[in-house]
Amino acid sequence: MIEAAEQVDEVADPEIDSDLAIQIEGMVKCYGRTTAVDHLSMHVPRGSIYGFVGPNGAGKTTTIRTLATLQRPDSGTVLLDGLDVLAEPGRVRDRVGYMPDFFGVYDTLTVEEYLDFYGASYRIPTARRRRLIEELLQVVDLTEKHAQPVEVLSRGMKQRLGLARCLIHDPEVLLLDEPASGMDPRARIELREILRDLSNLNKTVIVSSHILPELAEMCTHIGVIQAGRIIAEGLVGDVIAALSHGPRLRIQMLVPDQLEIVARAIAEFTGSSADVLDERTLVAPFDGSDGDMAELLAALVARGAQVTSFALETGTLEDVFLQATERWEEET
Amino acid sequence: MIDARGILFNSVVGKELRTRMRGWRSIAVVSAYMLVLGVIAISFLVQEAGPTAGQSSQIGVQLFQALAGVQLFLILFVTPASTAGAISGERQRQTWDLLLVTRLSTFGIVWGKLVAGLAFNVLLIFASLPLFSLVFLFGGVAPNDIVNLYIVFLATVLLLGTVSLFISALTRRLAAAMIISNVVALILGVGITLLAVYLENWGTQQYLPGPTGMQAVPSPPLTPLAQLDPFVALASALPNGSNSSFLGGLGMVHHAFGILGTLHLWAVYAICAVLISAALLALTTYFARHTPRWLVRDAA
Repeated sequence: MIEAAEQVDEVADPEIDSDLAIQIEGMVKCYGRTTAVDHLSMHVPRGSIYGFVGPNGAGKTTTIRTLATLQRPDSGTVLLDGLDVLAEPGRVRDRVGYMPDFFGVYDTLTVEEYLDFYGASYRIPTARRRRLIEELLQVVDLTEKHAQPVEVLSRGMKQRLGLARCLIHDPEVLLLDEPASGMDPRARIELREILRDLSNLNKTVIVSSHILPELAEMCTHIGVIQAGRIIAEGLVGDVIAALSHGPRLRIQMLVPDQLEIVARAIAEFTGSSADVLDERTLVAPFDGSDGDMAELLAALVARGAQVTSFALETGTLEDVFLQATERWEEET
Repeated sequence: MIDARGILFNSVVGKELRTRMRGWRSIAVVSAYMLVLGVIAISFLVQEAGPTAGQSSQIGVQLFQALAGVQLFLILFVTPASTAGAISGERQRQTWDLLLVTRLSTFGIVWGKLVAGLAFNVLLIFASLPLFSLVFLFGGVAPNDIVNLYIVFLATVLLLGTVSLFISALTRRLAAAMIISNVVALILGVGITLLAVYLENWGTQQYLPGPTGMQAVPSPPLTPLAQLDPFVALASALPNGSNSSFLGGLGMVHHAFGILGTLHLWAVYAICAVLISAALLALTTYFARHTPRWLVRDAA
């Protein structure tokens, strides 16, 4: 289901959808004269991993902080697990695990003490905390570091410890703001695996990021935010299919002066025009079969084109994001 | 049922005490603090308790006064340093939001920060108790003088602690909170004293012609401002060696707060400190969660 964002000027008691872990209708948040979130509506199904994608300054952090009860919206309705974040912040905090984009740790505490402190702050009884901490350290693969001071952990390990902290009170919804920022590739892979584990535990996870290909791999749903509004939202595959231009052929030549030959051949063969990316590369829409591709390649070679690369590209999340935001900018 | 123990000693208190007392810094501060007071006491004894010393009880009173003054001065510096970073430090370290999303109430967090910050200062002033007991060797100081003095110390620690915590809630950077808190502590401690001296024209006994010649003009009653001055309160709690306060009659406040009878100035100061601290604690709790606009970074 793709929902184009429409401006909602007045939101009066929206109907609560029990299938949604998060339901935001017409949220507005301004900082002075700057509108950070502009009539944003967002719908996150229970048990989904929801990729929250948008450029810097689009309103991702403001939305996530509002869900975490750290700031109040100026208007609109923000429901988490059916609870209004303004009316029942305490109950919302019980259901939410929040990891900000940048967060510090208490360096002098050990890993175990760190989790124990947050466990106590969530009023988890001491005996249950000990068992819980052991289990969480296993989930985030930090069991061996349990007695180490937090300061000796690498950034990736601290990020995993932060995830364990988020999970200590067994929240139903996890809000992860740019969790992969600053991580090395290996740490990102580990994070992805942990998120999959969490999804298997039926947690709802919101992950904001601008590392788009990674989100495509780990998310079930996606919401694209631009200038404080959701401009596309739904299942990852549906959003990609609806917003992307479809498969495209990327062809690269050995020498620069053959673009015209290749473009003409493509036009004759597919009936569509090619876009020139640089002096040796072009892309063109292509929805033929593998046999059609082989024929086109043979035709190019027969016309003397020295092809060094000939590949079919399907729309990546990055493409979708760029296309969706460009289209939105053109329309507005 | 209200869990009093849970409110008084929540997880923040435990964590703060653990992190504060871990490492060399706290031990160094306690050692330096005791060293300063110890050197003052020994120097005083070497200078005053020689063969030309005066009356033993007078030495005891003077030692008591010297230690009390120095300790209050130390409190002015140490208390802001131990509480000013409570909230601003968490903001700077980017751990504050993580605390606010837990099930702890904002008051619980602020209270925990205050208790932990004050606990360290209380440790310092009680660590100096053995030094103060030296005066009993000389006499001239009654046990209740020490009690009165420690009430002034504790009230000052409470007042400066809540002032610094309030400043901490209004700042994002640790260094800024430290500097502002120390300046405010100096104004409270020394500035008010100087102002009170200026306003009251203290130290200059005035004489007017009377029927029996020149007569001393009785000192005017203290302005309410002086009731907030830790050094004036200290002076009212110090003995002068002749069963009287260091401030004499000025150390008493008549019709205190309009409804109470005559109280010692140090007692009025302690009550003022508790009332102001309660108000500041309420304000700190508000600003700790409702971050002032000038502190909000553009989080979009």
